[in-house]
Amino acid sequence: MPKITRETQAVLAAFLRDPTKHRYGFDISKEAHLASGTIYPILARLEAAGWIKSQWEDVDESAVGRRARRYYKLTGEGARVGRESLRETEQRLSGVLRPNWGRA
Amino acid sequence: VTVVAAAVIASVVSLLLAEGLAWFPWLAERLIRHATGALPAGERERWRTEWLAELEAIPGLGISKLVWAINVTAGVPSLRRTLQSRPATASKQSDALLLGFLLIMLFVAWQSIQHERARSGVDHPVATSERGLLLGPRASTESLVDFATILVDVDITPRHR
Repeated sequence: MPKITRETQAVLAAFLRDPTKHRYGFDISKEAHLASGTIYPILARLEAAGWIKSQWEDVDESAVGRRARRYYKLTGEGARVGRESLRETEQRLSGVLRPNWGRA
Repeated sequence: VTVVAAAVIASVVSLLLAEGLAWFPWLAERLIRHATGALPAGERERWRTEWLAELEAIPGLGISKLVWAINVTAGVPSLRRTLQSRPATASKQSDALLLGFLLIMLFVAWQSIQHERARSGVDHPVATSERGLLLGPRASTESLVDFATILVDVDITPRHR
């Protein structure tokens, strides 16, 4: 199971905005607001864990005038773990942001 | 003179900038190709193809592509560690498979020896020595004993002279 760092959460959150959407690295980098050098090791870890899967774009390169891209998509397990992780973080943060001052 | 010098400098700078911008995409591609060389051999082609495809999608001037390529290159050591952890698991699996195969081969060899013993009806059809292993009805320790005797003779004879 990969370590869920803040950057990993950002990538999972980007995927969870639309779990059915296929994204390539540059898209994910923009959505997660992370540098390209950070994205790919995370994608490799998530793919090894089975949380995302990837496949080559099925296009005629000469017709579209560019190379085929590698697209990533969240798996069911990835969506479950991602939501769980984000919920836990949200709960922790809400405890910090709204302390029970004066209610002791 | 100052105006002329400023105009010349501005022209040279703009020329260099234009030239540089034209070279940046090429440089970015070279950087990506070089960076993928540091990845495990089986993974290089996949990541090279993926990154070169993404490099084409980077909008803006050539410098954006170069910055993106530098970023990707900076992440290569981390990616390499991630990818190397996968072959390590595969290597353990292949080691276990190899060990299993060797055990099976040993079992088959042992079964063959047992079968040969039963077929020949000789109590000790297997003779071993430091020089090798003999199987079957013709196997006997005599030849090995003779061989040992010869060796002893060879060793002893010079001393008696």
